[in-house]
Formats: sequence, C-alpha cells, structure tokens
Amino acid sequence: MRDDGSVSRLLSRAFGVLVALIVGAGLIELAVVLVQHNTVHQLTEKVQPLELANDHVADVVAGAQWAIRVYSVTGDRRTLELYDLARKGYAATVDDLRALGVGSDKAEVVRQIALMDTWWAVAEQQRAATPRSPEALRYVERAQTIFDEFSTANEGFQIALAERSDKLHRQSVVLWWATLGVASTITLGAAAIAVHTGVRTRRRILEPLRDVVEVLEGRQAGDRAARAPVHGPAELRAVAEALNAAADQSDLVRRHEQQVASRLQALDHAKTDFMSTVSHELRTPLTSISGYVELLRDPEAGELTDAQQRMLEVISRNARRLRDLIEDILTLSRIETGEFRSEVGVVDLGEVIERAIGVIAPAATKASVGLHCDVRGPLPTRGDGAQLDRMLNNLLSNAVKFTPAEGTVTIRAELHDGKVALTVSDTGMGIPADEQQALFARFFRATNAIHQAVPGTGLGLAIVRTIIDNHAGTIDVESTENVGTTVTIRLPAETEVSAVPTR
Amino acid sequence: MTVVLVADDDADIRDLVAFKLEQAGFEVIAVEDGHTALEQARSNQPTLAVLDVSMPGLSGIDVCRMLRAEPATAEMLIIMLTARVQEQDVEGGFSAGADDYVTKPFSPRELVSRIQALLSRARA
Repeated sequence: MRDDGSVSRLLSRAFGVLVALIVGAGLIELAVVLVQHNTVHQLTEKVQPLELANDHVADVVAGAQWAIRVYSVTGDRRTLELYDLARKGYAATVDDLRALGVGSDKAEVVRQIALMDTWWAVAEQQRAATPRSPEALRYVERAQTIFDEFSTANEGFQIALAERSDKLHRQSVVLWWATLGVASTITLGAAAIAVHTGVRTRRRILEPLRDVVEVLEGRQAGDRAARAPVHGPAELRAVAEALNAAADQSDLVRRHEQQVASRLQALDHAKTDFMSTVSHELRTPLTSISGYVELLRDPEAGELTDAQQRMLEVISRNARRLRDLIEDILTLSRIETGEFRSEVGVVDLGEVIERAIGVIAPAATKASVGLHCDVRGPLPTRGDGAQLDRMLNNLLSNAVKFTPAEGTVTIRAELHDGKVALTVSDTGMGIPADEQQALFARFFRATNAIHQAVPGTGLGLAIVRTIIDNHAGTIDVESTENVGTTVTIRLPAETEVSAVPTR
Repeated sequence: MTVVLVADDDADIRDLVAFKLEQAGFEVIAVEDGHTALEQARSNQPTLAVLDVSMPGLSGIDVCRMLRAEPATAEMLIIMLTARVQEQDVEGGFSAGADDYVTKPFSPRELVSRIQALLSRARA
C-alpha cells in the first residue's frame, strides 16, 4: 500500500478520468455528427440535385432531338411544337445545371453545355431547313452525331455522379458503425475504469480504517500497547496519528496515576507502620504507669489516705483508657493493612454470636442488663473468623455499655434474601440525631456519652465498619435518644450449604 | 532461694519487676541488655529468666535461643515480655524455646502468678 495521496486526491483523480472519458466520447460523437451532416449535405444539396439536373437536361435534349428529327424526316408540324416546348424549357434546366456544376464538376458541366449549345445550333439550322429536303437530312445526320457525343458524355457524367453518391452513402454507413463501435468501447472502458477505481479507492480507504477500528477495539479490550499503523491516504494517516497520540497520552496519564497511587499507598503504609510502632512504643511506659499504681495500691506499700486512693483510681482509669485506645488503634491499622486476619472460610455467624455472648455475659450481669438472643441458624457466611469475632464483641460491648441497669440488649439473626441479617437492639441512651452521620468516624464519641462519662475510645464502630467493608457487607444504625439504638448488619450468605460446618 | 534473672532495657520496668519479685521472695538479678543477661545466666545459673523481647544488641529471642543451645542452661525456665501481640512475634518467642510470654502492658501481680505457676509445674 502506498503512503501518498489523500482521499480527496484519490477521488478527484478517479472522477477526472471518468469526466475525461465522457467528454472524449462526447467530442467524438460531435465530430461524427458533423461529418455525417457534411455527407448528407453533399448528398442532398449537391450530388443528388446535380444528378437530377444532369438527367433532366439529358431528357430535355433527348426530347428535342427526337422531335426535330421526326419533324425533319416527316415534316409533321406537331413535333415542331414539341421541339419548341423543349427549347423553351431547356433554358431553365441548363441554368440549374450550370448553378450546380461548381468545383470539380464545372469542367464536365461546361463541356456538356458546350456540346448542347453546338447541338442546339445545328438543331436550329435543321428547323429552318425544309423537311425531307436533302439539306434537312444532312442536318439530321450532323445533329445525330453531336447528340450521340453529348449523350455519351452525359451518361458518363451520370455514372460518375451515381458512383460518388454511392460512395458518400457507403462512407456514411461505415462512419455510423465506426461511431457505434468507438462509443460503446469508450463507454465500456469508462465503466471498467469506474469499477476499478471504485474498488481500489474503497480498499485504500477501508484497510487503514479497519486498522484504526482494530486498534480502538484492542485498547477497549485492555491492550495498552495497541497502536495504529500510519498508512493510506493523508486523512486516514492523520486519524491514525491522532489515535496514536491519544493512546500515548492516555498511557502517560495512566502511568502517572499509577505512580501517584503507589505513592499514596506507600504513604498509607508508612502511616500504618507509624501507628503500629507508636502503639508498641506506648506499651512500655504504660506498663510502668499501671504497674507502679498497682504497687502503690498494694497494702504492702503502706496505708494511703482516701484522697490518695481516689487519685490513684483516676490514674488507673486513665491508664486503662490509654491502653484501650492503643489496642483499638493497633487493631484498626492491622485490619486496614490486612495484618489482622485468620484463615478466611465459611463461618457460621450463629457460632460467632454465641462466642460473643459468652464474652459479654459477665459484664451484662454486672450491669444488670438483660441479654436476649434469637438466632435462627445456620447462618453461613464467608469471612475471617477473628475479624467477625471482633465485630460482634464491639457491637455487644457497645450495646451493654450504653444501656442502663434493668435495660435489655436483644440479638436477632436470620437468613434473609441471600443475606445473613444481624440486628443488635438496646434500650440505651441512643445517639443524638444530628450526630448519627458521624457515627463511624474515628474517635467520634456521642455528646451524651461524654456527658455521662461512659468510657470509650471512639474507635469501636470504626473497627466494625472496616470489618464489614472487608466482608462486602452493609451496616445501618437507627437510634432515638433515650429510647435505644438498633444496629443492622447484612453480610452475603454463603450459598454452598454443604460447606457449612456441622455443629 | 530461687534465683530469677530479669533482663529489660527499660529501667522502670526492670525495677518494677525486680521489686515485685523480691517482694514475692525471689532472689533477683536485674540486667539491662542481652549480652549481660547471657553472661549472668551462664555464671549464676538462675532457675528462671524474664526476658524483654526488644532490647538493643541481643534481643530476648536471641538470648533465649542461645540459652537453649547450651547444655548448662538448656533447661532454664524462660518467660518473654513482649510489647507485640502479633502472632508471628508470639510464635517467634515459642519457636526460640520460651516457656511462656506476657504481653505489655501487664500487671506485676499477674507476672508473679505466671512465674509461680511455671515453677510449680517444673517441680512437679
């Protein structure tokens, strides 16, 4: 495939050839028509009238010759009238002949007229002579001789004219057939060239277009290296170049995005590492604080006043709070980095609930909070057992923590619509409506909880949310202040029932 | 009297543990790094060693592994103190040959009960 030319040049070249052929055919036809016209003109305006005039003259002269001869031999005066009539008509006919006898015919016409003039002169003398007289008979002889000579010349001329007429006619027929041949050849040639050019143009345009389409489809299918070959007409080369430039640009942007993403990832990793290191480093001083507080509160260290006891209680409480915070931060960062995980497999949420209730039950009893449980199992879901344990522990400890004495915490779980649905409802202090959207933010603590000095890190629900995200689940919270809170969690149910471990 | 070796680079923790152990009636050798811990373990042959995992130079896990490798100290009871709760750290401690581990922050009282439990199990 050549690289030159453009679609417009290609098309104009093809159309140029076609127009040239059509104009050529037209010109040839025009020329033929002119030639034909000329031939017909020759035939009808010159040769045939001349033939007619020549014949006419011969008729007139022959009639006159016959009449004067009969008169001279018989003396019949009626034939003399015929002679005079012919003589009168001759003037007009000979004028016709003279007018038509031009060009190459002039010499012949002049010769004939000269012969006729000679004959008429003899005929006049014959007319004047007394019929049947020897003089008259002599004139008859002479006139006959001249007439014969004239007649021969006239016939010869007549034959020549007929031949010329025939020739013109033949020429016209040949020309007609030749025109037909040439015109049909040109038409067929033009048709062939049109078809050829059409096919060629189509191929030269379609092939590069197909390449462009292929590259576009390839890129759509994810082939980043796909580039269009630059060939064909200029317009399509421009399209291919533009496509390749766009592809380069998009690759560049993509690489840049990848770089930014990996930088962000590295940054996020560094942040998590830092959080993890900080929490580890905080544990040692925390051990000292709570350890020495423990030593101080030990009776062996000596008696303390009530005020001192209360102060140590504050230190101890805050050390515990600090420890919880460190644990939660660490857990969150480990869940985010995927470090906090046990084996992923089919987990029965009913068992997870059972374990969590076992963990929370002592605290609930201590706080006089009733625990109700309605689990319709089995509830198979796919997930990380350790993370799900943590999720349930956080949910239940929250519910118990925020529920006053004599309140209840209800746990319900069932399979519903291909999901494992779990609700934990409490009759606790609830969350103020305008604070609910911030519920899952890190370190968020409801104002009513802070006022009532309920301990907490503000990370429990953030951990729950992260675990649910890891398991492609959803969480919804409905809460009314001083009435209670209901947390609903939906996790995809494991459909392979056979995979559920038997209890 | 039962001799206990305590190795921790943090002086406050070292003092805390030593104080609580002495109070509980043990003879305590307190050291601040892995090399000294190794020397003291070899020369004094304590019944039990409390080793902090993260110490500069030789870590608690290194010391534990080396003690286990020497016939004279191979039978010594070892408790690791760790600030890390990740499974690989705990596993690392056990694979090095520790008998038990205690995670920071820990209560001194809890540590003493763990030590006593370990000792009575060893005597039985």
